[in-house]
Amino acid sequence: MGNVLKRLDWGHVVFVVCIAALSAWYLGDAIAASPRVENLILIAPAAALALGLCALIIGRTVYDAATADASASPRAERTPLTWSRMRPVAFIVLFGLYVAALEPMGFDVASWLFIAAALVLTGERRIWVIVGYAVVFGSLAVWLFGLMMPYPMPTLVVPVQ
Amino acid sequence: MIDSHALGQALALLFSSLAPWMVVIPGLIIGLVFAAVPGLQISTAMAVFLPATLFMDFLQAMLFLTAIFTAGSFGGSVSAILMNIPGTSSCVATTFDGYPMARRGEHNEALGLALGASCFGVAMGYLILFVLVEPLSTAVLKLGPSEMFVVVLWGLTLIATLRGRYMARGILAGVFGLLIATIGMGASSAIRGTMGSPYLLDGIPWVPGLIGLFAASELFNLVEKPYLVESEEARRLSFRRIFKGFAMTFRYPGVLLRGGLIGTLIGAVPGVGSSVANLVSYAETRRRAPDAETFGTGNPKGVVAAESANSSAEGGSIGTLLALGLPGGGGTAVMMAAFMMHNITGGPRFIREQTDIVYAIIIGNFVQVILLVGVGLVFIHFLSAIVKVPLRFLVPSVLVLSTLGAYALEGSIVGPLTVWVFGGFGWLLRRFDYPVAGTAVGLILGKMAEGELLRTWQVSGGDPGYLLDRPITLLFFGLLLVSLFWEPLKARLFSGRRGGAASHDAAP
Repeated sequence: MGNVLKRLDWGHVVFVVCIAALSAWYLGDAIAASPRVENLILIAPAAALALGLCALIIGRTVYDAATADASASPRAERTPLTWSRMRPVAFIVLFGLYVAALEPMGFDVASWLFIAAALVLTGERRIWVIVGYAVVFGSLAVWLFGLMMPYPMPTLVVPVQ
Repeated sequence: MIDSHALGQALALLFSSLAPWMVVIPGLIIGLVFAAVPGLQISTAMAVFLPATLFMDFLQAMLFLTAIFTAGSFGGSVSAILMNIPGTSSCVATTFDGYPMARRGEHNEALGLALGASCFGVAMGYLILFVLVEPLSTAVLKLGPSEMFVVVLWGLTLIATLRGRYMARGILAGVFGLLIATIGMGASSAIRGTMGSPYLLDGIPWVPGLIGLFAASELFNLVEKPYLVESEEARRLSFRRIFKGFAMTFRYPGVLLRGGLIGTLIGAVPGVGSSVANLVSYAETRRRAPDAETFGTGNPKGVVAAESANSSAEGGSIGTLLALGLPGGGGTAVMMAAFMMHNITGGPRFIREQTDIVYAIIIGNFVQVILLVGVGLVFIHFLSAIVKVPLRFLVPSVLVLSTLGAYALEGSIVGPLTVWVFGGFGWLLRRFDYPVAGTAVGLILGKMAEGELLRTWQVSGGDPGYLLDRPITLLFFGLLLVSLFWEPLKARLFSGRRGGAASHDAAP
């Protein structure tokens, strides 16, 4: 049993549980909004199917872990958590910070900082390349989109209409 | 079969001003560049540049997106031939003989063959579409809401079942996409899943959602790889030899025609498309070839078979989009987003009422093929260099463009936020081997599926017996079941015979 738990792909299980929880919550919210057929005609069967599939996938994942070659080392030992594996997660967090900073900082400054931080995160160490590329590319992109957009885009330095 | 009046109007639309053509060459260049970079798909390019179509009229937008699509069909072969890395998933079979040709020093000829076969394939796919689009729309107009609902489910199922042993994951991805699409105010004015946010009353802004699912999630994956092409050797390119290869393509008319036909037919099936067409065409050409043993060692027919099929699949998939309003994969899903951004609903009524526009799109693509020959030849040098661009520059740059594009679409921070949320979700889907295209197609078709199901319920008065009087619904439902259960059934039936055949059928 202990080996099964170690071999289990916990990341996948948590992911499926989250999808199941979201589907169940959404079904509940839709029923609370209106229990009429017109409202639930697609949502109820789709949510039920999603929940069933989540159960099936979790069951299959547990079964795969239980029937895996007993001599195989547990998953955690086979795939150690390295910086290379964590880099996409760090990048997603960085991208989230960029999106959050767009309005308070201005699209131009936020874009400079995001590009510079992304370059550092992915291994660039030459300061002049980091600063130069971030400022030139970020400014050009913001300026071009500013020209095309029919509504204002907040910026701090780059002038846009 | 062909409406000559609409054809005349289409020619007038296309050739009375330069405006429709202003976007074609940029579109071709974008498609070539994105497809040549391994890891970036054509749908990524189309999603990133989708916001730019806001500033175009509908015909321009379609020509721009189909130009990206068309050029992508060739661009992916550059890295497949030079480095054995398929630039897109539709170029896998190109590597089988293209790369061995390159290793023999025949990379120029292989690139020429790929360009010639791609151009022929695109032209053939659109020619078939040109002839069949009118009768197809007449047939599709006879479909009612129950048939359309089952067609939507069938499309989702086909995408889901492509995952083979992970079929349940594919279906879950599609169903979850359907659920997300129904968030907001429903037909009965009930407000579902908005958590009180007024931004979600009209539903999830799904174009930024697509940008997140296709573009951002793929870019997050790429940061794990510092260099894709470190080991690339400098290769000299020769225009004369590329031309020689281009001309050599037409020495294999049978391979070209078979590839074109297979590509168009498979491309028309939702969820299958060019990723499968190139493999089927390659396998069929090898099976019929008298020199089958030379396939995998640099046989030019292998390159021609793969490239003619993956390119002609574009015409087939656009046929399905126009006739059924059903996107068959990532590229056509983005195209459908452009339809909706211009308040146009794809489907038979669109073909019947705006035949001139449909013909203009098709004829525009014939011209794109000719332009692709020139642009492709000029850009081969540049393309072989762009695959050396470090991903640490490419990834943040494309993400910034996607973010600004999403803001341009929505006019508020909701656009970039949606890109981030769906980008992260798409990354998780890819990580655990779920098809991103399934969620994307569910997201696009969810509202339509709900509407068609509701209309079926209203027409039938809630009587399930109504479906027994709808033979086409039953036929489509049968096809849905076949696509769901055929693969597992076939695997079980033929499992005994597989052992020996598998090694023979394996790609070289």
